[in-house]
Amino acid sequence: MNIFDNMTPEFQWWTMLTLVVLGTYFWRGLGVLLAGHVSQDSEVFKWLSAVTYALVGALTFKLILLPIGQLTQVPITYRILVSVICLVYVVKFKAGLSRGLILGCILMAGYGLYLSYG
Amino acid sequence: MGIRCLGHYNRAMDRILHELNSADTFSKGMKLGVKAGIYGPGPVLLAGMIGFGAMGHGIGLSWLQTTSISFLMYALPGQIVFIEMMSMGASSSVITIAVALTSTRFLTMVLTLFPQIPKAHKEPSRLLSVHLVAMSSWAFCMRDFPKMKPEVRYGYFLGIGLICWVLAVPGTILGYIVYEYVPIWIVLPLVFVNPLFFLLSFADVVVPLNRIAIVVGGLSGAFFYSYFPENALLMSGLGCGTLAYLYDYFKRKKSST
Repeated sequence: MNIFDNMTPEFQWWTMLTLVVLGTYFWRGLGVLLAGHVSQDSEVFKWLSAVTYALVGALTFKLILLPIGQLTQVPITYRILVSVICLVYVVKFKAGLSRGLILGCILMAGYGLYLSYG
Repeated sequence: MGIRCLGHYNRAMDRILHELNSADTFSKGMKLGVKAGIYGPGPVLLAGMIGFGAMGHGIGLSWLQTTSISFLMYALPGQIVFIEMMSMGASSSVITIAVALTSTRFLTMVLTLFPQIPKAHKEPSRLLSVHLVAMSSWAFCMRDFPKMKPEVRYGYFLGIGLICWVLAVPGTILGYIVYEYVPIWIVLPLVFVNPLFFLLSFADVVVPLNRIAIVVGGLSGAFFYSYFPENALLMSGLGCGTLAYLYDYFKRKKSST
C-alpha cells in the first residue's frame, strides 16, 4: 500500500516537497562531511557528473522542445531558432552568459509583441 | 545606455576585487561578498527565480508552494524537475530520485570549495551554510578565493550566498505575480529564461564526457518524453548518463593500453 493513499492532495504535495528538499540537501551535507577526504578524480564522481549533465540536458531540451503553459504559443521552429542564435552568440562571439540571456529575452519579447499587435 | 551599465558593472567588480586584496577579517569578507553578489551572480539568479515564479504559476501552483520550493530547495534545475514531474503525474519515488540525481553536482561543488576555507575556532555551522552553495555563488567563490586571504574566504562565501538566497524569494514572488497581470510579451521571456540559462551554461562545459552526456541525454529526453512522459527524465539521466560514462571509460582504458 502506498503511504500517499491516505493523504489529502495538499498534504501529499508538502510531503513530496519535504522529500525533494532532503534529497537536495543530502548532497550538500555529504560534501561538508567528506570535504578534504575524497578525491574528485574518482570514477564515481565521473559517473555522477555524467548522469547529472544528461539529466539537466534532457530537462533543457524538454523545456525548449515540449514546453507547457504560455510557451506553447511560440512555434517550435522559433524556439529552436532563438536557442541556436543565443548559443552561437555566446560561443562564437564570446559574449558572456548575461548578454546571451538578454538577447534571448529580447527575441522572445519580440515574438510576444508580434502575437499581441502583429 | 547598455554600454554605460556594463562599464559601471566592470568598474564595481574591479573595486570589489581590489578591496578583497586588502581585506583581513571575516566581517569585511562578508560585506564584500554581499557587494559581489549584488553585482555578480545576483541579477542572473534573480532572473532565473522570476522565471521560476512565472512557471510555477503557469503550472497551477499557489504562490506559497512556488516560493517555498525556491526557499527550501534553492537549486533551480532541481526545482524545475520537481514541478515538471509533478505536473506530468510521475510517482513520488521517481520524482525524489530524479531531483536527488539533479542535485549530485552539489557534492563536487562543496568538495572543491570547502577545503579552501580554513576552519576557525568559532564559525557559523558549515552544515547550515552549505545550503547557500549554488552554481552562481560557487563559480564566483572559486574565481575569487585565490585572490584573498584564507581567513576572509568564509565571510565572502556567506556574503555572496546569503544575498543570492535572499533574492530568490522576492524574485519568485515577483515572477508569480507578474505572470497573471502582464502582457504576453513580458511573460514569454520570463518562462524562457531558465531553459535558455541552462543551454547557455553548457557552453562552459569543457570535459568531453560531460559534453557527450548533455547531447545524448538531451536528444534521448525529447524522445522519451513523447513515449514515457512520467519517467523520461530519469531514463535519460540515469540511462544515457551511464551509457556516456561507459563509452568514455572504455575509450580511456583502450587509449591507456
